[in-house]
Amino acid sequence: MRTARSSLDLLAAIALALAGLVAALIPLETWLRVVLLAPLVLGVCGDAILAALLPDRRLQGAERVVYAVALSLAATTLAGIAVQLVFELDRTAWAVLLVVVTIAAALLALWRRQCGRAEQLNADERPGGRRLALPGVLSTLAVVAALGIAVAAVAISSAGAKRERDGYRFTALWAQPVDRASGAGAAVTIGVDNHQGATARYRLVVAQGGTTIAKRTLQLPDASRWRLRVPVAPIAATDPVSATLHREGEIYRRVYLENGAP
Amino acid sequence: MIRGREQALEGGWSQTQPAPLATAPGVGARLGIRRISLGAMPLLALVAAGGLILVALGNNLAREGRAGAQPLFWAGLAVIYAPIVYRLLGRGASRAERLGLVLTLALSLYLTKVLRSPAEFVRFDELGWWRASNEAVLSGHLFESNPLNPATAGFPSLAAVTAALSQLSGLSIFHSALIVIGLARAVLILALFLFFERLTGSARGAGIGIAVYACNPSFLYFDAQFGYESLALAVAAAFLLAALRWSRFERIAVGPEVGGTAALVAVLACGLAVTHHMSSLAVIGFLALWLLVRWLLLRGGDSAEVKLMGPLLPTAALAVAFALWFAFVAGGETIDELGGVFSRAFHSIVDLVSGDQGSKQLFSGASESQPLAARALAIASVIPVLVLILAGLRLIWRERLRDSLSLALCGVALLYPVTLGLRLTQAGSETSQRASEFVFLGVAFLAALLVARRPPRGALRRSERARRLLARIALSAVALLTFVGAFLLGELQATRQPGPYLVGAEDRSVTPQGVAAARFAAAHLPPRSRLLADRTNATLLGSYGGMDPIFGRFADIPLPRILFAPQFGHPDERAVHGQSISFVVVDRRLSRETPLIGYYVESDEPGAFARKRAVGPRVLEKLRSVPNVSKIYANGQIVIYDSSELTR
Repeated sequence: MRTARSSLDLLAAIALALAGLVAALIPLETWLRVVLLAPLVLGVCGDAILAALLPDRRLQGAERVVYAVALSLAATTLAGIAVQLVFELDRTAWAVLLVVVTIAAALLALWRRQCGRAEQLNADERPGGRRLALPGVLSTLAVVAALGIAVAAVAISSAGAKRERDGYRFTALWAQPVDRASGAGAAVTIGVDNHQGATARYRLVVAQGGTTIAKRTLQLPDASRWRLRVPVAPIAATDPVSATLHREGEIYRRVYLENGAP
Repeated sequence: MIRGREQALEGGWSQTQPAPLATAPGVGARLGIRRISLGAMPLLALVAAGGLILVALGNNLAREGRAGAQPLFWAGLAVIYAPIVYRLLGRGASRAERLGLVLTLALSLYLTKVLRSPAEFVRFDELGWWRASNEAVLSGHLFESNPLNPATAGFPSLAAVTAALSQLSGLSIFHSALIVIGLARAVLILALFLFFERLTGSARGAGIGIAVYACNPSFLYFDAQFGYESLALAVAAAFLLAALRWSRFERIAVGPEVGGTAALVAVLACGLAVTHHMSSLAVIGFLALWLLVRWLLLRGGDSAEVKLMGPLLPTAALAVAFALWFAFVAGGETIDELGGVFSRAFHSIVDLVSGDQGSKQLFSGASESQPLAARALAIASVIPVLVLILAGLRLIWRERLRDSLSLALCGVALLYPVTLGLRLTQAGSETSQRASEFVFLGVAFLAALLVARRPPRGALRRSERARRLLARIALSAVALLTFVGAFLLGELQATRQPGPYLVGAEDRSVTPQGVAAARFAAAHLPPRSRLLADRTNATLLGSYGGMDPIFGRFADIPLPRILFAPQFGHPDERAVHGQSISFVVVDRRLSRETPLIGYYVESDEPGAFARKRAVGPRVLEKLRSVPNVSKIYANGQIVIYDSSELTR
């Protein structure tokens, strides 16, 4: 009973690692994944390693946090470097890797704590020793409010950045051979992307060697895309394909293909 | 000459154990919960958050090009920094409060950087690391080559951690990166606080040390960006803390901890070696200096344990880890990057001394100069740091301190005037900027020592209390001046805040048109196609676009001439063919003005730092008349030409 209580941190690390493994393997909401898996990458893994290295829990809170995070970063990198020589590092590989490291380190720490118990009683386990330290209610509320204001600052800045982005108004016109790899030049794709901040009307004319091969009148809502596949004869410098986009009665954009494939 | 035997400072672990805390009465006590007093920290956190609101509003005004942007921004920084420093200077705060205050300072200043660009990365280095992380996610392997930042292939730590977090949590690379770097910032400050506290035995001194460390010119933006240096600083600080723990074993009874601490030092050494070359080398250099000073202070009668403890193991661990990593993995990347930086700095200094090159105009980019007041403030900010170094050295001399680590940190602080000299040259500025985060470790230590060594005073008369209050206010004001001046020194005026598009101005040149062109390339062009573009578009196309931008020369032909020569001639065709350049990207806005950083594509292009006029608009249209070159994309400002036919 006493062992279990004195090693609650390690048991919690093992439980979190296993929960993280499950979370990595089944479909979950992103926020839940963040809650379950981010600590594993950024701290829990390193804390278990630290407990294995220094099992007697002499380290104070802030120093423990420093080493736990630094060891997590180091362990994630070093283990990732080793594993990627054999496997691809996808979500499952990362999860298994971190869970194995965390559980192995936690079990080693448990064993070392057991071994050391007979020789030396932990300072933390003496009466009045290790206890959770929390600030008062008012202090906590003030810190939470400060966090809320900081989030508001980020929201204000994000809104400003979005307004700035929306202030750049333009339309993109592009043309590409349908199958660049084959170089057959059997068809081209024409694309129009509207970033004008409002619905816009265009007229598109596609020509090859001076002959119009397609015409379209478009009305595109803001932030929408339009694609057209046009069959063409083999493209050459002497027989290029051109696409001209007209807006408000004037030529607005023009692209052309003089070669069918790279 | 150092005389006398090594005597560690009176800091050490014993004084840093948590102070007894008040126990909450009632239920909390029965549940084993202690109440911890944070003093004024929650209130100052609220004030700092208010400062962030000011910064955000100032940035929004700057985005719209409206008046009042700068006053709000600077006021925000002052509101964040000054009250915290004022409180840290006082004697009334508890250790927990000081820890809370330095964390509040660190995270508030980190958020200031986030507010600069809260939705996407815009810095060159950040976009290079975005690409490295994205490659790690897409390929499942580290060490993928990266044309934007070749060093990422040799030091995959940041990409590995970010990719792991992104893949496991489902967050985007951008948001994962913000979390990783924010955590690294918190760990850096915590570790430095504990390091200074252990050394000086004073939480108050440690708090002031952190406030001074924040005055290094790289702290606010450069060290908070998504780059390997930002992560490495945190690991390096943790490593130094572990090294200090190891080196002071003779002063505490630790017994079975020795092996575990040695392993801790070794793992962190490996972690640092694979994270960043410059940080590893700087820490190795510092440990070697510490070792040297310690050996000079050792006496013949000292025990083997005393001789072997100290910085020998950490130095050896990091040196061996880095040497192996350098020899088998990252030698090429390290030599290419650091060799370039140091060789450019060296040649700049030689040219300056020999008169071949004039001195660089201080506090300015190639095409911008700062207002007189900003220059004066930047110059004035250097003075308190120099005074602090002199006062610290005087204290060490007067008290005959014989602690090898303290003396080594003094040596580091003495590099500060040297780095100021480097700022007189264009290339040296980069070295000086990068060195500041290491040099300020020594400066901050001296500040911590000065504060820690001031004897506590008993009851004060009212007049003395008023005098000390004024002194605290004055010191806070000087610290604020130093902090603001350092930021002026370290960051171009154009990139401190967002704003309308500027030519060749790093962050300020990234616009939705460039991002749209990069997204088009990612969706419709063959991955990793080789292309030529100006620096900003190369960065965007190399990151979001997944292309491989090409820099440098082919034979003797500088590639930027393909973009900027009056006509597309035979040398250009040879270069396109020889370098297999499939696409050429032209940004018509380059004709508006000369590039703010002095060059359009790369720093050694023809005309770099010497252009008086912008490239002409007709030059940028010349590819329209080149046979077998297709114009495949146009968005009004940016055009992508397909030159693949010329590569056959």
